[in-house]
Amino acid sequence: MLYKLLLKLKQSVFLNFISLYKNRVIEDGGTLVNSTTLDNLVSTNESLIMVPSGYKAAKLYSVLPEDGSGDLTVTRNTEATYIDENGSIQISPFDTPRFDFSDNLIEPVLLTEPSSINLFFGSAILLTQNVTVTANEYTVSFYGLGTINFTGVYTGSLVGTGINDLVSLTFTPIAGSLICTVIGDVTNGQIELGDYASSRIITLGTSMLRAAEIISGAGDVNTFNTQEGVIYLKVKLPQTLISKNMTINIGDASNRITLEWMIDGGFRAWVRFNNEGLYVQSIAYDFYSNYSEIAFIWDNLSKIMELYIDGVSLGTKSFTAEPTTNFNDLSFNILESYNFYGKIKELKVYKSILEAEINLPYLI
Amino acid sequence: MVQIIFNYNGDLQALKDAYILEFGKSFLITYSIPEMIEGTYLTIVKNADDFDTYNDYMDTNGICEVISGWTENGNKYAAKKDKNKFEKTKYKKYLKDIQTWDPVKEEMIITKATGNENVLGLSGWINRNINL
Repeated sequence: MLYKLLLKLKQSVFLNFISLYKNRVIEDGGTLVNSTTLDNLVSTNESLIMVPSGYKAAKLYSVLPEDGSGDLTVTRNTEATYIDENGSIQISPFDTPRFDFSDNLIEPVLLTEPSSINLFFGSAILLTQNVTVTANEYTVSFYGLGTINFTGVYTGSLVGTGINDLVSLTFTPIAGSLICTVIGDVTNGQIELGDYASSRIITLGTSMLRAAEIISGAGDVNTFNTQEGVIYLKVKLPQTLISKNMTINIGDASNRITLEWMIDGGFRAWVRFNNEGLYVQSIAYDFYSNYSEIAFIWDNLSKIMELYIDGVSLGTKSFTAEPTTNFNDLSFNILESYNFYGKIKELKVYKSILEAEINLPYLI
Repeated sequence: MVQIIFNYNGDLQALKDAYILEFGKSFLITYSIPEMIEGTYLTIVKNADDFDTYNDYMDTNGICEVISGWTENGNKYAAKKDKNKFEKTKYKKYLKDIQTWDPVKEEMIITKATGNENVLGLSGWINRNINL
């Protein structure tokens, strides 16, 4: 009974945090998006919480800290598209975070993508055309019930399955002219380098570029505890292969906690103090089929780190180096490189391992 | 912001790697332009003058020719150096021949670019003014 009362009290205290957050977003001129993840938050143990629910140009709001010091800066030098809660394609202006509903129409996720070029012209309603390609991997994708037949430097076809269904085909042609013969209704057509269909890039008379997102600059020395903590991430990658290692970092180049997705499909979580880096590694993990929960612990008092994915420990590692600076930044990259691209549902940072264990009991 | 189109006859990737080693920060993000010949790139800089430093660096290991720059509303940027000003002949020099598939005749028709063709667009930016 007493426990239930305390839980209810705690929930009501936290609901105030949610209300404060929502007020802050509105007063700052931001936009709020409905999020059940946000509404179901019941904890204030975290020093930083980002749930995709509030944004404006160049800013991705964090629920905690309350003072806004955990808000992230977003840059993207072009417009980009996303799928809204009605399943429609919407345009996101320059530098604006994208909350995407393409996985389901219930809960938004933060979508960050690398740059991409759609080589089709007139993508809205695609007509027969040829595209000059190199001997690299390309993905063609579209909505509709029509078909694209490929001849020239590649032979094959891609058949549509519905006006709201995105179909895609990945292949490697030889260099030259790819003839794409369109039969029937093919809408929002796209041909781009890479092994997956990225968000729609709307073209007219020429090819069109969507620039990459760069997200950085959350927190200060009060947000993070260099001596111990936990970073928690609920994440999914849209592609089975990445072209360059991707990272999410707390700290600077010399002293940092790093989550790193590697080109070979592996995943590592690092503690790097005074330029000495050690990590716990997963040889290969499927971040593509479902959302995965990553929790990484660093404990400078016990000199040990531990990585959990989906509630299972992937191992511990001891380290000896001492930090020479305190963490004061969380960014989706390191030194403006190795940007993270994927989909994020939740990002949380704890300054105390004990506090994290309350919310993530599998850490005990 | 300004988008700059330039051609570089050196090894851009090698140059980028060397730049990170030398200065500890990334070089310009560049995009190959599908409608232009190999070695022709588009980049985006905050201020047009920002590009000059990179231009000088490229010139240490090759030749960088700036075709021109444009702002988000499609206007040509006010180039300080004459060599960076837009000229139709310079622009046309880097355009590929245009290949168009004729589905009736089932053959490829190849025509020379006139210089009036716009190339790789930037989503949300107004089309570049490529008239003199």
